[in-house]
Amino acid sequence: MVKCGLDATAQAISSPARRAALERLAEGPASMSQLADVLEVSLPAVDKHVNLLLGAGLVTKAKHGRVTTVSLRPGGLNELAEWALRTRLWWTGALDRFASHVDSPPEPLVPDQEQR
Amino acid sequence: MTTITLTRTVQATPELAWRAWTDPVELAQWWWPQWADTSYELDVREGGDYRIFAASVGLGVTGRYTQVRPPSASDPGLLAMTWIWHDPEPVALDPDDTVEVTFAPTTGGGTLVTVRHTSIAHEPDGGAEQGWSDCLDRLALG
Repeated sequence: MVKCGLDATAQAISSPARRAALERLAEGPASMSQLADVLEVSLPAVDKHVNLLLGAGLVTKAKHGRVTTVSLRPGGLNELAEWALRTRLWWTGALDRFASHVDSPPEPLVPDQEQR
Repeated sequence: MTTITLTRTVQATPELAWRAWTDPVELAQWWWPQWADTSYELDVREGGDYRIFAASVGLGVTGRYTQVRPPSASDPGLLAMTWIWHDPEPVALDPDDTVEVTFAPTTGGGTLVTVRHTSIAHEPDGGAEQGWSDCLDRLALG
């Protein structure tokens, strides 16, 4: 179940429900039933989503009495974000240069070429 | 498989856009123009290697062309290559990266250029998990 690296992270955020859960947890820890309210799903469904987030190292879970609290794990998204941003930012800059290069008018001919 | 997709629509024809990627003199105009010492060695044929290296800053990209199909009226073409960053040593995360570029004609006589950069570096099983690349795109956009 537990995978590592980009794979697990990307799978974890591939569901709108789990992204909504992460967004909620970014505001602070939440109990399982609070998450169930936010996601508008059953407790067993929340459990499944939270376990996937756990496996990807994105959240931590702690039990206090009868209440299970889920917290965002700082830095859990860093590796994926770093890859995505590094790659996307680099290509964005390169493609901007490509577009302005191919769209720019040809260099004006220098005089000795014009005479030919 | 983690894929990032970027597109640009340019006014140039697919043929000119293709040339900007495959002619070293053209590529040098836009790839790393800020580093004048950058060398561009492109053996543009399937199985041919490329090496782009800016010695002054120690950055480079190397790889091999795996598909080389220039665009035509009915075909957006495909320039596919493996992709290894050098900083200045090969970056461990990247040895399994691939980059695919297509050049689709637009109705206005321009070209829709699409770049798909895929990493399978973190997938020891070779790619069982698929289907979430769009989510990654949204993450990077957001």
